[in-house]
Amino acid sequence: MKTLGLIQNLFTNIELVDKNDAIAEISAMRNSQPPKRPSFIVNQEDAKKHIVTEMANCAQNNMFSYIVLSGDVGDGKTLFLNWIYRYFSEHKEFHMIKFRVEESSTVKYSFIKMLVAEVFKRYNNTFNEALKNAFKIIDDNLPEDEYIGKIIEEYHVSNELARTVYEFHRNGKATMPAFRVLGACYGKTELAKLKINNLKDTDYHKVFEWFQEYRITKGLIIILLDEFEHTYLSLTPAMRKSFMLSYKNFIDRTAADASRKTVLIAASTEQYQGQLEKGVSDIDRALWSRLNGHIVYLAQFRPADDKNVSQLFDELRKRYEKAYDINLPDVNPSTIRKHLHFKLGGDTTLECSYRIAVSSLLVILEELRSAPSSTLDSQDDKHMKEENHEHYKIIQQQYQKLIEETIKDWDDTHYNNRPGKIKSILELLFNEHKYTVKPVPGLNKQRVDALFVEPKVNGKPNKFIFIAIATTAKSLTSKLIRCNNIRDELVKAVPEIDFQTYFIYQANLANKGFKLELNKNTHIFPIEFESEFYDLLALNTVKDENVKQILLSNLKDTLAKLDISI
Amino acid sequence: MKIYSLYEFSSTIEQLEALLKAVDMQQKMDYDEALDLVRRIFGKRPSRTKILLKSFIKLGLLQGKSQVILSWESQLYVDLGKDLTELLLFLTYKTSHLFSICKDICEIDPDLVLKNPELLEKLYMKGYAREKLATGREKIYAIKRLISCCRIKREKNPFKKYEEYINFLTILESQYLLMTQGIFGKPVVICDLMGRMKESGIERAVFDHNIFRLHYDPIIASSTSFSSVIKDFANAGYYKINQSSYYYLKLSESLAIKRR
Repeated sequence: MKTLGLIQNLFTNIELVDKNDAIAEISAMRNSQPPKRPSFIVNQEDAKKHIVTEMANCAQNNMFSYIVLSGDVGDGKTLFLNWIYRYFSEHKEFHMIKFRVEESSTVKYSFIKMLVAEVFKRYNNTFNEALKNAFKIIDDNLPEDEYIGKIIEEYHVSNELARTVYEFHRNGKATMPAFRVLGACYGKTELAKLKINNLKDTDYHKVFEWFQEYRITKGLIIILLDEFEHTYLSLTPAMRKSFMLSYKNFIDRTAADASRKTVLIAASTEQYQGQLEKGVSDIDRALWSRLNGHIVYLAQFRPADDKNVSQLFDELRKRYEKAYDINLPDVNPSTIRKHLHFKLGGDTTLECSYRIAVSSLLVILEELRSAPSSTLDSQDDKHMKEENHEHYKIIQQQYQKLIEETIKDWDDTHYNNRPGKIKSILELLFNEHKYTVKPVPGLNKQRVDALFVEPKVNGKPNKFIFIAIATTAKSLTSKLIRCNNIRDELVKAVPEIDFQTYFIYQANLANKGFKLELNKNTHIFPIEFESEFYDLLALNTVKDENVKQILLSNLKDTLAKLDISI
Repeated sequence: MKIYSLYEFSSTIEQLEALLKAVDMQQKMDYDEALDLVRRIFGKRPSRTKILLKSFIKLGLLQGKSQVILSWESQLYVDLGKDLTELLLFLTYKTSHLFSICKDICEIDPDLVLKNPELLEKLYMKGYAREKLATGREKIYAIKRLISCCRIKREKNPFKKYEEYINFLTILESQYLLMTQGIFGKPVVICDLMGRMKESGIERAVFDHNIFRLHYDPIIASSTSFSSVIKDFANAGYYKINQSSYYYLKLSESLAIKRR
C-alpha cells in the first residue's frame, strides 16, 4: 500500500540537499528558528516511532489518531510539524492543514472555525467540490423552504446553516457570500446578504464532516496545530472555554466516526503544562484525561552523549559544507563534545534544548570554517594557542566557581568559627614563607583571632597579627581598640620581645570613626582586604595549581604588606 | 569474600589529574606511550608501572588495549575540569566489591593510622577471606591510596556519604516515577517533588544538598534536565540552584548506576 510505505519512510533524512535549501536551513537555524523545510531530524526515536505508528493505524483502519507533542522551548516541536508538513505536502492525496492557536477576529477563537477557515484558504477548490458533492442527493428544483427543510431533516443542522447551503447551491448573487460563510471566512456583510445570524460551532463541525466525507481524493487529512499553549497564554477565560469546547467536540465527533481518516498533531510547550492541565480540567475533566493519554514527550539533547553530538554535528556539517561550498577538516567526536560543553557553560552536563545545541554546534562550525588551515584536533601552533586560550577560560571558570563556593562556605560558617579559618590559612602561608608560627607570648590563654610569627631569617620583625571579623563598623572599631589593648598587655608582659602589630580587616566596614581610631594608633599596621579576602579563604580548598596561582597573584599586594612575597 | 584485587594506585589526586590531562591531550596513545607517561608521572619501576596502568584501566579511568584513551566518565570530568575525587567515588561505586571494602576500611580505621597487617587482621575478622600476607598487604596498600584520593574536604568516610547520595537518588527516582505515572522524560515541578520527598523522610537541607550535587554531577546529570517557566506560571514557586531559578526537573532515564 503506497500510503503505508510513505508513512513508514516519514523520518528518513534527506541525503542530497540542494544548495539553496541548505542555505535556507542553515540561515534559519543560525537565527534560532525552526527551518520551514527541514531536511533532517536526529534522535527523538521514541517520538518518531509513535507518530509513524499512529499514522499507520489511521491509514490502515481509517480511524482518528491524535498526538500532543510536548517539550520545552526549542526542543523541536515546530520542527516536527514543519517536517511532517513538508513531507506530505509533496503528495497530493494528503490534505495538510497547519495553523497556530492565535487571535483571529474572523474565527472567534473556535478550534473548528479555525480548522474550516484553513481548509477554505488552502483547499478552496476541493472544499467547493466537496460541498457540491454533499448536496447532490437533494433535488435542485425544490422551492426554497422545502430545500432548506430537506437539508435540516437530512443533516440535522441549524436553520442558518441550511439557508447558507441553499444560497451556496442556488448559484445566485449570494453564492459567494454563502461559500465564504461555509468556509468560516466572512464578516457582517456576508451575514447581511444572507439575512442570517452567525453560524454555531456545531454547524462548522458538520461543514468539516462534509469536507471529510465528500472530497474527491481520499488520502489522510493531517491537522497540525502549533502553539497549543496559547489557549492559556493569550486567550481570555471565555475564549479559552469556547476554544476548548470546540476542540473537545471535534475530538469526540471525529473519534466516534470510524471513517474519518484524520490525524491531529498538536504541539504544546511544556512550560505551560500545569496550566494546560488545570485549564482543560476546569472545562472538561474527560477531555484532560483523553489529552493526557496522547502526550508524547520530546527528548532533549544530551551533550554528554557522543552519539547525540556526532549525529547532530554530522548532519549540520553536511548542510553547512553544501551551503558554503567548502570542505571542513575532520574532527574527533570527543573534541566536538568538549567544545560543545564549553559553549554550553562548561560546568554541567545537563540536557539542553535542540535549539541551543544546534546554535552552539553552528558556532563550532563557524570556528572551523574561519580556521580552515588547522583543525580543532591538530597539534600546530594555532591549535596550541587555542588550547591555551580554552585552558585559560576553563581555569577562569574553575576560579569563579571556587570563589562562589568559598563565599557560600564563609556565609555558612558560624560567626565564632570565622577568625579560626583565617588564622589557619595565615599560619599555612607564614609557614611556607620562612616564618615560624608560635603561641602568642605573654597571653595566659591563646586567642582564636590572634597569631604570632617569628621569621626564620634575620632582618624581619616578629609579627603579632590580630584578625578582626566584624559585622558592623562599630564592632570593627571596638576590635581595633581590643587589639591595641592586647598589644599593650603584651608589651608589659614580655618587654624583651620586640614585635610589630598588624590588624587584619575587611574594607567594607571601615567607616570614618574606624579610620580616625586607626590614625590614633599609628603603631598598628592595618591590613585591609577587599575582594581578595575570598581569594585568601579559597587558598584553604584550592586543588588546581593553576587556580592557586590566580589566587596568589590577586593576593600578592596585600600579602606583601605582611612581608610575604609571592 | 576476597579483598578486591587492586594492586597499585596513585598516591595523590594531583598526579592522577596530571595523567588524565596528559592522556586527553595526546589520545589515542599507544599502550607503550601510556606506560611511559605513567612512569614519568608516578616514577615507578617498570613492573609497578604496568600494574598501575592496569589498575587505572580496571577501575575505568582509562580504557583500551593496544591504544589507550580516557573513559567516557574521565573525559567528562577532564572536559569540565571537575574534582576527580567525585569521579573516583563514582567508579569505585560501580565496582561493588571495591566500594564495600573502602567503606569498611574507613569504618575500621577512620584516620588511616593502622599498620597494614593490623588492618588486614581486622578485615579478616569482619569476614574477608584470609590470603597470603604479601598479597593482602599489597592490596591494602593500593586500596588505602585510593581511599586517600577519595577523601573530600577531610571527610572521614566519603563512601558512606556517597552511598547516602545514591540512596537519595533512588528515592528521588521512585517519587519522580510516581508523579509521572511511570514515564521518564516527563517534567515534574521541583517544589512538588520536594514536598513528596519530605513525606518520605528527606528533609529540606538534605534535599538541597543532594540536588545541588546532582546538578553538577557530570555523569548522573547527563540524563537529567532542569528547566524554568515564566513568572505567571510558576505557581508552585521556583527552586534555586546557585544563580539559576528552575521550575521543572526531568529524568530522561533511570539514574541507577550499573554495578559490576
